[in-house]
Amino acid sequence: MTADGQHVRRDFVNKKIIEGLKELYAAPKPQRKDAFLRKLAAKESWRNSNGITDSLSYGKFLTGQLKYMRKYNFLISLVLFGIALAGTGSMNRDILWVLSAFVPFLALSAVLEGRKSTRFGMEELELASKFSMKSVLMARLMILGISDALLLGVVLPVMLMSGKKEVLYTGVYILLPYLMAAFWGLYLTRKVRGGEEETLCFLAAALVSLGFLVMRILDVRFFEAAYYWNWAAAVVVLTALTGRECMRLLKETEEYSWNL
Amino acid sequence: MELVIDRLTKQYQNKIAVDRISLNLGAGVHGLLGANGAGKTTLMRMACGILKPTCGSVMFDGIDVADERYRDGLGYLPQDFGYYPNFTGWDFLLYMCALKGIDKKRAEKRARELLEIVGLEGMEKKKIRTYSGGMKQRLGIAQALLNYPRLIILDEPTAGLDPKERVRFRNLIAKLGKENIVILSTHIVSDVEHIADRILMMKDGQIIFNGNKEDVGKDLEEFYLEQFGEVSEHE
Repeated sequence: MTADGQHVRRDFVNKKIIEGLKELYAAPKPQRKDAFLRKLAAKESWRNSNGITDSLSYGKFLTGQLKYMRKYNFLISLVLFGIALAGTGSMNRDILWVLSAFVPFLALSAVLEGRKSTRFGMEELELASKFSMKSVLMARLMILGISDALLLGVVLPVMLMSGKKEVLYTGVYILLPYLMAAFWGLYLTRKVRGGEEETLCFLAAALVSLGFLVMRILDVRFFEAAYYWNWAAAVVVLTALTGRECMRLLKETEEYSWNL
Repeated sequence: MELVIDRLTKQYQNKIAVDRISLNLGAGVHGLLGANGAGKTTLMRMACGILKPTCGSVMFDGIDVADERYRDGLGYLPQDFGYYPNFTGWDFLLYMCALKGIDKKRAEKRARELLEIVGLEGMEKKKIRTYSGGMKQRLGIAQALLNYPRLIILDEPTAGLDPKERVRFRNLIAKLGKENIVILSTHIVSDVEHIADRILMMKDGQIIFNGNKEDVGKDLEEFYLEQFGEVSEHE
């Protein structure tokens, strides 16, 4: 047998196997096809006659949610970022310390805004809707995150253009307390039920704020250049932890369990 | 049109709230009767996809309860529901329309229709916190019908309604039941007696009776009390 002859025989065997497999695993004939198609047509006709179409995209839903969010959340962000700008511009470390003390409350307002559904008893209605509570929560967190990121996107280039590396320190002054308060707020709202979560989140934010105020009063030299990389690492870790809490929160909104 | 509940179970640590319930429900009004703690609300919540079952499945026209398309055709009125502060009745209905994926123009038209149907026209611009219990309940019924649902689940819908409102509600549900699946959970026997095509009785997480009024064969309230081991004071 030539090499070619062997090659031809292998092809022939493979073809037989393939044909055999096709015959063995042929898809069964569709059953009740007409009834299924009639049902589909009836459903489409019902939807069309009642004006129900998939006309609201997720994008429109997202922008629609903006209308229902409390405007003071964005106002607080604006004020705090304005202070950040002023503090960096004037190289005034005192202003930045005060900023660190107030930023936890920005995080608190974001967390409470995200958890509005639970606080006001709307979760059942939202869970049972087409754009469910998970979508609502994601929309709120995204809008708040995007608005804060936009402000940061304005503040940082201004600082960078001024050629001051203190912009990096300012970032730590803002992000560290924000992420601490956000992490604890998200954790507590996940773990605590029964109306106490609001109080506990406020306490967590207040403790973080107090911590930074006390450090300023005691003139603790935390945010010195020598320790910069430690605090940058802390920011990275807290970002990961806060992100994880966000994901857990979103996962938990897929199901609520009520205590009997 | 069919809702298929197959061996649905919900177990908490040391209690079985819903115990292997299997039902095939077609178009019509299905009254779910049971005492407090029987498992009615747990069953309703699993049928709405709010609560994840321990095991079993719920399918509507072949669509699983976890699918977004299931909620597209669902209208649900919970036993208790809240509202965002400063919401007027109008704001609430438009917000629910947005959640149900109805665009603004159609939402306004539909909200007006439903406000008239539930008798709240003229009240829509007032804050919900000024509404009476009955008005709030009627608003809840209106939001459940916004998306022309084919599966309507109502948990204690007549709570807080006065007799006139109750009659109006029964007429509305009877009309909806002609072309849709309506599940009405209540412990008020007369609600079920007047409008339900099928009666389901639930006790300790199980369905103890599944039939129509003819199958009952006697006064429904008497039958209900017998099933739950109570004796009527009228005897």
